[in-house]
Parts: sequence; C-alpha cells; structure tokens
Amino acid sequence: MSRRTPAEGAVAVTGIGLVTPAGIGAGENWRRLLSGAPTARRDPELAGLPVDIACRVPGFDPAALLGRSTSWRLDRVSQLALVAAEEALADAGLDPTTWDGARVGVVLGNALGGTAAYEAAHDAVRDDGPDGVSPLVMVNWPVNMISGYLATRYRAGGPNLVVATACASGVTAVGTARQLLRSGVCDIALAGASEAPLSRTPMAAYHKMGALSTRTDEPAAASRPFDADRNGFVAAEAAAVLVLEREADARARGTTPHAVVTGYGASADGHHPSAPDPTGAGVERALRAALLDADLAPGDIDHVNAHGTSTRLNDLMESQLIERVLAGGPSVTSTKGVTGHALGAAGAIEVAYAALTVENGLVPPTANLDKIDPDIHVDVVAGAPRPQRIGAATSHSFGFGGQNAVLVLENAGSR
Amino acid sequence: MSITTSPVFQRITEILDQKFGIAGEDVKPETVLEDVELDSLALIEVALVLQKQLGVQIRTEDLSGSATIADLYELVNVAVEGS
Repeated sequence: MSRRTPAEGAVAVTGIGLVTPAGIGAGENWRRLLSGAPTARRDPELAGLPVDIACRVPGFDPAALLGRSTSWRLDRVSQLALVAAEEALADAGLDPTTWDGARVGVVLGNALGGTAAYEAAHDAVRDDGPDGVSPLVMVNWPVNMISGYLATRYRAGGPNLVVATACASGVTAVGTARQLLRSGVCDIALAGASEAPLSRTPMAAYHKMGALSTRTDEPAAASRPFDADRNGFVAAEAAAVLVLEREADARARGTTPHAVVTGYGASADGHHPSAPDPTGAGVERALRAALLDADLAPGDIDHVNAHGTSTRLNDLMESQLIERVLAGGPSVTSTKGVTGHALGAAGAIEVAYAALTVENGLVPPTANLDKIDPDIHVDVVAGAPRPQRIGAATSHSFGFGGQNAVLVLENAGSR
Repeated sequence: MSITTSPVFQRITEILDQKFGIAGEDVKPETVLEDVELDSLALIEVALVLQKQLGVQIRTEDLSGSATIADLYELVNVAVEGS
C-alpha cells in the first residue's frame, strides 16, 4: 500500500488548551508533567466519603476566567471546557470574532454531564419539592450542553456534538472531529473533552464498584500506573481542547502544527460492563485499526501515551497489548500518575500531552512508578523525563462499557 | 421616595451582587433585566434565591411580566408585604 498524501489523511493540531490538575495552560501542564509531581490530595468537598482523595484544577476561578455571569450559570464541566478552548484558540492564532463560524465544528467528549448541577437539582426537589428546582439544570446536566456553550461563545455554527464512550470519550471526540474535517463539512474543529466528576454521587459509586485507589492516607502516592502496588485510579476533573485543521490548510496559513493526527481506530470489547476483556482482543482491534488508518507498521510506533489508569486489570492488559502488537518496543508513559484519571476528559488531555511529547522530543515520566509490576514487560519511563526523537506515537483510551479508542500522532517536523 | 432606598430593593441589590455577579451600580430601577444577562431561565433562578433568602413566595408565571429591575422589585415587594 502506498503512503497517502497528507491532504488525504492528516489533520494538524494547531492549538492546545489544557485545564487540568497539573495546571491551567499547556506550559504549566508540561512543566508539571516533566517534574513527575503527583497532584492527588485529600479533598475537603469529599469529606466523609470512604475515598476522599482526588485531583482538582488548582486555583480555578471561573468568575475571573470567564466572567461573573458564566460562573453561576454554567456547570463546572462547561466552565473547564470554555477556559481550555480560550487557550487553544489563542495558541492557534485564530480569532472567532472574524472567522466564518459556519465552517467551525465542535466535537467534545464527556462521560457524566454536569454532575454538580444534577446533584443540586436532586437535593432541591428532595428538600423543597418540585417548585424548588432550578430550570438551569436542564442546560447544565445534559452532556450536549458543553459543546453547545462553546458554539455560543465562539459563534461556531458547524457540526456540534458531544460523544460519550466513557473514559475513551476524549479520543473518540478527536477521532470524530478528524473525520468531519476529512469529509469537508468543516474547516476548523474544536475537539477535546471535559469532565467534572468530583461530586459525591459519582465518587461514592466509583468507590463502591472497586475502581478507586483506597490509599487515602497517602494521596500523592495513590495514582501509580504500572506499579506493583497500584490499587485503583484517583479521579480528576479536567478539560482539554485542541484546534484541528486539515494539515494542508494549516500549513497554507503559515502555522507550524504541534503534531499531526494520522490515524484513528475504535472498537468495543463486547465482554463486560466495566472489566476489560483480559484477552485484549477488543483493544487490539482499535490499535490495529488506528495503525492501518495511519498506514504505519506496528514497529513504526516509537512512543505510547498509555491509558494506564493504575487499576490492576487495565495496566496489565494494556502492557500485554503493547508487548504483543507494537513490535518496536516503544517508550510508554502514563501521565495519570501526575493528573489522576479525568474519565471522559482523559483521552483528550493525553492526546494533547502526546502531541507535546512528540513536538518536544521528551517523554514525561510515569509518576510513582517505584517498582514495576513483575508481570509488566514494557518500557515504562519513570523517574526523569527521557529525551527521545519520536516519529509516531499512539494515545490509548479504554472505557467502561468496553469502548476503546486509539489515536496515532506523528511528528509535524518530519513531514 | 425612590424605590432604591427601600430595604427590599437594597436586599435585592445585595443578592444580585453576591449570588449573580451583577454589580450594585448596574442595579437601577430602569435596568433592563436582559441587559444584565437575566433572561427568562436566569430570572427563575433569581426568584428561587429571593424566595429562600426573603422567605416569600414568587410564582414563576408572574415573572414573565418583568422586564426591568423595577418590575422585579414590584413583584418581590408585593410578595414581602403579603407574607
């Protein structure tokens, strides 16, 4: 098979916006990732729950960042997305006041919707009856509102949707946006994801299903992907928004992409509501589909930004997948050791991190990897950042429901 | 006497500032509610908060006639006097 021209397949990442526990802004995020310093801590708002540790965005002041009206009208899940979008647009050098909004699409991922809005409405109905409920809940709880608010703020009148594939949502969103760009229905896409899950109901339930790390006496050590002593994930809030354009368009307007997205693969395990298929057959289908889409051989992948949740089942299954399929023995990192697991937003954050990794030729270390699980035999980067020239990388995301998504990013400088 | 000196008006001004981010200098009788980003949904939210804080009943259907701060004040003031 001959390699396709970039215009056929490649979509450029021309803007990155990150609002995560590692900081507000891509620069702050990157520095924190390289430091390997975890962000998990005891969370006063979760006091009294069996697991009261989480990763929150530090110093997030919606009134200062978005205006006072937005600070009370919008659920945090939309506020995080708006702040990330603001940075991504500035980074891409785009001005929404002058663009042809009809050609701008928005595709975001999310798993849980406006959890705080829902809980407040539930409490109001319980305590004050039906007359006590805020009507704003119906423009904050539903997942679609997140991309809707971006459309309103930036006059983005093209295709607009939120995709939900649990913890794969962020990668699904970027992959879907790429398909929209390639089909020609829009020229610019704001793609990414947002999640604000740190409310009491989802946190209690994630604990009840055994997914969360119970290392509450030592929060900073709780998220430890691939480590022998890992015992679950630490939940996080976050958003990432990327500006995507067809590579030819991006280069024609003189921009230098952070990286280019050249492949996307998606699949379903069809195995279990929450546990990954231990054979890894479903995730392997997604990975191989992404490689085929990118027209790359398994040995071409130099680096993996892993799903790496710090749960026993995922990390073992994923390491076996990498070992089995990616013949070149790529470097592997899980940035969740620093950020925790931002669920539906995780994939978008990690695509952004993978783009920065490819661009900078530097792999951030996996935090808290003190002693690798003896059953894991892949090259996980730990301790300090590792310089590496990366031609192609994959970013993996696997969701409850058995929904899997893999993206291939390539170095923009080598094209 | 201007309504702005009434305790109810002052309380509304405080609540709009503290809960809804509307600066005190923008809360004048003639202020159009839409101009301070209080559309119909937001106004129901405002009414819910005023009900709780002032211990009064405000019917959602009565809000639709409110176009200005003075209209909102009138609605609340009637509710306060009737409570």
